Amino acid sequence: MTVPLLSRRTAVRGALVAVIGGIGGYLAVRASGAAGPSGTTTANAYGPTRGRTAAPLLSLARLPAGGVVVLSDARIVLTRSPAGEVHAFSAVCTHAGCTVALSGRVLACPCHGSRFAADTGAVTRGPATRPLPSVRVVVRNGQVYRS
Amino acid sequence: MTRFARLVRALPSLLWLLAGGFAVGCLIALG
Repeated sequence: MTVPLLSRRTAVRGALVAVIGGIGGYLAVRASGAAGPSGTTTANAYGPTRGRTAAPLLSLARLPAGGVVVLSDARIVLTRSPAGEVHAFSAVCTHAGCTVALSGRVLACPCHGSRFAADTGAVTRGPATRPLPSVRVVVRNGQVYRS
Repeated sequence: MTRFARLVRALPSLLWLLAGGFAVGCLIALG
């Protein structure tokens, strides 16, 4: 009787090891946060629509003309033009869902290095291809609210 | 050959399988 090149026991053991490796790799990437939030959390990344009683995002006094503020908890970037208009867009990188951070005059994604213009949210460097989506805000009584 | 010796001899291929599975798992997680 010849010895089979690949016994059933060996094949099963190999498959088991590969599956364990796969689960390990999947969990490792999930735990590292490199994969970004899953589909359901991406949909909620901009938060639920809030009524008029919602807490203000920021006091206008903390956003000078020409200034940029990243609200990492709300995941919103607030900008104020030199003329004083307040604009907001999502701080969620359109590539993998990480929160961008202000780096000088640009918004930099810490995960894969995408760059966005701080005043428009436009992509200035990949791998992201889509601009940061704008978020509607209103200014009432010197406070910035999500509208 | 003892059971332990067989296991040691199979270790390199098992590690390759583990690494391959790990890579596939990473790719799946990254989408």
